[in-house]
Amino acid sequence: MNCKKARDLFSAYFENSIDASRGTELEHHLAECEACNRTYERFKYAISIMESLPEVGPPRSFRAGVMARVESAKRGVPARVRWWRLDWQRVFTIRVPARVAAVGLAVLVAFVMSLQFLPPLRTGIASLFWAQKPAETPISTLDQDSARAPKPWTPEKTNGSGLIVTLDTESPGVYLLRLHTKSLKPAAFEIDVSGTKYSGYVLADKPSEIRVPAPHSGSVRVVHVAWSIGEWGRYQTIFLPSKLQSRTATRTFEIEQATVSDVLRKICKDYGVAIIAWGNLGKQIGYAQVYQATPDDALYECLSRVGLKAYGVASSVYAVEPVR
Amino acid sequence: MSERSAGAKAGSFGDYEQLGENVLIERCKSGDTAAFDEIVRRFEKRVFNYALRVTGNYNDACDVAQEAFIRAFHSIQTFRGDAKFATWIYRIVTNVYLDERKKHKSHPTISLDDTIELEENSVTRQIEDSTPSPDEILQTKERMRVLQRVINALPDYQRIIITLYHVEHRSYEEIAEILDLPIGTVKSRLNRARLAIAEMLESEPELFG
Ligand SMILES: [Zn+2]
Repeated sequence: MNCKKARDLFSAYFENSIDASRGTELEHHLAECEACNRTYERFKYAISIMESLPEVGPPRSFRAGVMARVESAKRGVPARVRWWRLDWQRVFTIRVPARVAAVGLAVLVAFVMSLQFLPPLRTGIASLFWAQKPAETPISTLDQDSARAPKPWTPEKTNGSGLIVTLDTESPGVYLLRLHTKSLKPAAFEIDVSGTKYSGYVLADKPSEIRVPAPHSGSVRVVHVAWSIGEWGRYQTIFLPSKLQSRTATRTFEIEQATVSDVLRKICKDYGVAIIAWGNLGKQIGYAQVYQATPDDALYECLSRVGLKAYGVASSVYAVEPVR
Repeated sequence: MSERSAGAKAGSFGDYEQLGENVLIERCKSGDTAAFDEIVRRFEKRVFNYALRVTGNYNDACDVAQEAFIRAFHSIQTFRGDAKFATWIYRIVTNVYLDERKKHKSHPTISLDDTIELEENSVTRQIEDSTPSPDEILQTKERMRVLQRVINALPDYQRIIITLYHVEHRSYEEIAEILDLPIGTVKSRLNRARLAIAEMLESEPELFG
């Protein structure tokens, strides 16, 4: 028996499905041929470690992503949506409860934070933008003046998805998180509210709403949202206080050895402001001292040194994003 | 807390978990997407893991696995009850993968680091029980990394067969059906793949000594 013939029989021999005479021939060859003998040892070893390869599961939003495509296929390809027209009517017409207005909290509603994904797909850098004109003119939430509708912002490249935080006008003490996308593709999300997870997806013309009860007095509710659109995935973290307060209050405190996440939690709790942040909040902020500061100043003081900036977008609602 | 969403799982979701495969497939054929959702739930792990071992990289595995489910959904009418759904879906994943490979003629860029990154936890978890030394953990990780590289280096069909047999634990008969090949061919290709791996491991004596 030559080496090639012998090696062809390894599997049958290993699995014991070889006929006896062939088996004996192979054993003779293995006894004589050191190379084949060594290869057979490796062969057995290869099989044993193949069996030990760990099972790796899909990303958590995998199923939601599949179902989003299934649904959108069923509905036909969603019509191309001019994103600046999208859903604004509804965003802008959210009722403000008289009671809230009365205590001087102005509008708590509305801000829209979006992730803009720029091509090339795999290596693109996600950046945040305001869906309306940026920074210097924070969204005026009840402004329905269509003349001030945002300018088209290369909608073809826009793939944004995001959140609007509002108070539920029907049940006090409940936040309403509205998830929406401007993407032409379905945006799958997974949302984790204090350990309870939901997944789903939104389409451009079909936002989703999740009602989240405010936390107990003196604590903070943290909500994580993971988005995936096509092959994109991004995270947002929302800090919700037990009660929203006016933005003019001042506080004094110092922090040491805290992460961005710790600081946002503290500011959320101490000032009673909601904060939506994205990205990695695990960065360490060394030492910061905040003296009789408003939430704007406190956020600036703590975040500027780690390359983050905060915007007040409506009363009591802030967004945090990396400085570009 | 309540949820209203285009894709929210409805209250009847729990019921689907009780249904048998055939009933679910009948419901899919009549256009019930919730039934398909349950099918995806049952098979996503297997399909993804198979796609991962065959493509050798996490991103491509996501694409291939998703595309396979979409293809399955669109051709569910052609699924006949005489095969197992698992066999059918493996066949679809394989075809999606081979089609993708044809599209991008060249060998796929294999980003092992992706895979390793994601596998780290499972590797660590798997060997945690016997409280190994850090050296042993490192070595196990390194071995898995090398092993995946070796599998990636195999020709497509060998890689597919060896994955179906050793990772997905399919029988020769089932592999023959998935790949539409005679059993003899499956056996000889599996033997060749195992030999190829054995030979490649010989060049890593410090890990596989
Ligand atoms: Zn020999």
